[in-house]
Amino acid sequence: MSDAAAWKERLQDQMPPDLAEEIDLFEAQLELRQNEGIDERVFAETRLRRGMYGQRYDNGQRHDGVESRDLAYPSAPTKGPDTLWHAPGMVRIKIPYGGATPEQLEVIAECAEEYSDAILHITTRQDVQLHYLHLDDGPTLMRRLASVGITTREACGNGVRNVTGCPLAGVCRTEAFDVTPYADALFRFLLGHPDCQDFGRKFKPAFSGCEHEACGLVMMHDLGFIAKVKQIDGEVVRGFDVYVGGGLGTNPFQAELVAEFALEGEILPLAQAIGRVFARLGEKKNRNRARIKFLVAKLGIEEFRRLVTEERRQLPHDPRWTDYLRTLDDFAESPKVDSTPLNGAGGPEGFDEWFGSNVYPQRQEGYVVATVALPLGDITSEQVRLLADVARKYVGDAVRTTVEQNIVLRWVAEHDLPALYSELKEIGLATPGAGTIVDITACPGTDTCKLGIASSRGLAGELTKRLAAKQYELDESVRGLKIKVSGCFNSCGQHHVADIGFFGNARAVDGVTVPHFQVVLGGQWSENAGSFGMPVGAVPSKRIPEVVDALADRFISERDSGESFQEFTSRLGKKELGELVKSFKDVPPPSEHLNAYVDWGDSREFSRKDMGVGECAGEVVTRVDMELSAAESVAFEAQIALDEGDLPKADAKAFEAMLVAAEALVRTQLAFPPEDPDDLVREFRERFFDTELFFDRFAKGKFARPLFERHESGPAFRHERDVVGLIENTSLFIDAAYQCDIRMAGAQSAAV
Amino acid sequence: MDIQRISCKIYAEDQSAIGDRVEQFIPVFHRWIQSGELSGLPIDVADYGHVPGGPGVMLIGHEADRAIDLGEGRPGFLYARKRDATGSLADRVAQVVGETVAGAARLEAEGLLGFRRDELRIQIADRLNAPNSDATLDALAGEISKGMRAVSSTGPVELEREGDERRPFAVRVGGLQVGA
Repeated sequence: MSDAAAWKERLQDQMPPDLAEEIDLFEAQLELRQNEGIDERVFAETRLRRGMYGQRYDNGQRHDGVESRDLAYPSAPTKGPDTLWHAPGMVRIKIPYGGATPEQLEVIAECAEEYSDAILHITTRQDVQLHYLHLDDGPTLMRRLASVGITTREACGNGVRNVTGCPLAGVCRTEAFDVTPYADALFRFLLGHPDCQDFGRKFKPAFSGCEHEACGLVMMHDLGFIAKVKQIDGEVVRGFDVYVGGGLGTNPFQAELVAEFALEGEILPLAQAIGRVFARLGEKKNRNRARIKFLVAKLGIEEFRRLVTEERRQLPHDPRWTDYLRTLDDFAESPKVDSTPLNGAGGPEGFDEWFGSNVYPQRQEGYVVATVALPLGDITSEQVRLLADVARKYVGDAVRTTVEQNIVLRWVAEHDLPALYSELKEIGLATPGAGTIVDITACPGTDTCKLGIASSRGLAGELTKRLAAKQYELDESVRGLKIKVSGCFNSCGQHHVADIGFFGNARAVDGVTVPHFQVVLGGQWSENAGSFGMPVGAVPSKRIPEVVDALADRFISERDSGESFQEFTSRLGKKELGELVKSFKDVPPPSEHLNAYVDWGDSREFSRKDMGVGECAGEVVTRVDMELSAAESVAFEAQIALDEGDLPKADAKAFEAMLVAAEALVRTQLAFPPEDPDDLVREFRERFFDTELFFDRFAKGKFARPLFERHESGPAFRHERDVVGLIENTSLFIDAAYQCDIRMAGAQSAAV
Repeated sequence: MDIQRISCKIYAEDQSAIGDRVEQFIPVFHRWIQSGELSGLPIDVADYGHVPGGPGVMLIGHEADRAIDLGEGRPGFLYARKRDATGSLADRVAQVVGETVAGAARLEAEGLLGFRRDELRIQIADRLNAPNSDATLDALAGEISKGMRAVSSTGPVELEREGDERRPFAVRVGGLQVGA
């Protein structure tokens, strides 16, 4: 038995059946692609929707500092356009609202150790990423994660990404109420939801408990919810202001209010209606204009709201919209121990500094949230295991990841803080300065991302090192600033909402390409990322530390009393700030200072030749392609069942595969095909057989008959030959469905 | 049982030799890639110098990774096989240890670090086939020792298993003299 099969057998009873089935399907698709049974574009989108991303150099080319060289991976089919099968990739693991138990963290750590490089990377959307992973290990890794209730589904690709939420939810001093159960409900409701499978681009939801804090950064999200309460008829009623169409990237948009105080029982259908409008009217071909922000801008928020309201009215009732409201109390956390006040008691060396920056008093008296500040969001498997022990000892399951790439422990009893600090220090996790200027956020950039232009992590690491050395000498006004770095304009490092933000680009200096960073100043973190910074000019990468020093000095010396950095930069204006930045734009000639032509954390001469086509947008693949591909995978499972002698299963899977293919075609004419097989087959017959749309030029309607026959006669597994025949006919049916789709697309384009 | 993920770490002689300057190995690894002299398919260099007790600087490869590893509070050179290993477990252990010693020798030749040859750490990151238990030690000790004998100039080696059963199976190997 292969290792993959052994893991599957071992974990079968521990995985939720739906997750187990999805992973089986993905495994079948992997095998099909290896046999070139699925188109590479379709497979790429499939892979992305399972959370498995490409990485830099996966086209088999790398500039080694001297020249671009081939990376001679073993021969195999591609796993996407220009993406080699054996090239290392990344897996993104969804952690809804950042909530992870110690047990879940341990399993992720085990996977990092066995399939990756023993590093867990916390992302700016509370996910965990593992890098340098082989695609073949994907299904086993997913099963191990599923055994503790974790999924990678739709962590990448054109779907609903992780649902983020404030890591302080439930313990925050200023929140309206705990948004955790609502974020969890939305995550479960939208995961794989049929109405969210035909988006032109990704879709990121977020929840906030407060309007005025940074909280869930709602204003930069595709869909955001801000908790509100109202007194109605003498009762406190919970609801949300719902925002739509925010986003960063080259065209940053602030989200707009689509529904004011939507009642708590109304947010799931509202999200579903928004998803339907986006799927129906959002751009599909030009992915640079395909985020929902462009649709909202194009229609205007009033028209968008009207369409959503109309859609909402037509939605068939779904009990899941409100069922979860009965379980809100299940999310309430309780302390592991009774607390006694710290009462100014001291701690070990370094404790006071750590306490000053990394500890947040909860609204529950005597308890605090302790932030474990992770350098560049990285933590080793071994540290995770030890941190899980610490969590179990002090807080139980109350652990969350944050969008600032850290981990928080909630419900720490005040009197435990000195001991907690000592134990964190012992494992290298007691770095002070959380949330301050030394706690710099950075996306992976050129380290692993195909789109990275300059080294965001290299720059962030260098700035951290320099600033940490003098953090206690810094003026308090500067110490509180936030720095965020992206490797390119796509803003995965969220540079738009930092006081001082940077994104990577490159400039030619005397004919030589030099890594640069565009400087973006005055972004707003509070008010849910309430405004974006302004770009003021590009500076050579190696001179960025000087820029930071100059900005800090200028802020300290010219700041008005009580003036924030946003107010300060706004007062100075783009022109003056541009002048400041411009004074750092020069680099010495290469003959004098070669180092300026090399990026941070690298020793190779800088080159943009390693950039590739990004996968963050996913492949633009039609929904019918995706569904027909899924039908092929189910047919493949039927074949496996036949090989194993399981005739009933083989028969059922073959029929299921035909139904999936028929549904894909019906959906091209009917937005919501019936789920009942009788109704579905009837719709297919009326729309594709009776109209002869499905007919092949020579075979006419022959390939549709096996579906009708199997549907009418019921299971056909009395004789193996019947099942063999059914599986063969299933393949022909799916092929015919593909041909039908191609003919319909051709007819449409001819009509246009 | 097809165990692939075998790694070996050889420890730096002077534990303070690297200090907080692990980034000095970034150009070294880039140079190794440029030279085309390494076995297998080296791909890229990853800098984890900022992670306390982490993998330091890694040279990521297709079949295997190499690293200036900072784990256990004891810097060293690590070679970690990931795939495509063939032969018996003893053959695979011998190959991994051989590559580890070769990497260490290369660093020594470049005057960057010295290594002690009397102690190694072998890890098998494969919880399915090699959970960290005494039973695994009993089952694999013979093959590991045989693999070690192929690269050590001394007699029987001593294997001491590391305790925490949640961690990957790992043994500290003493009583040997490798690559001297």
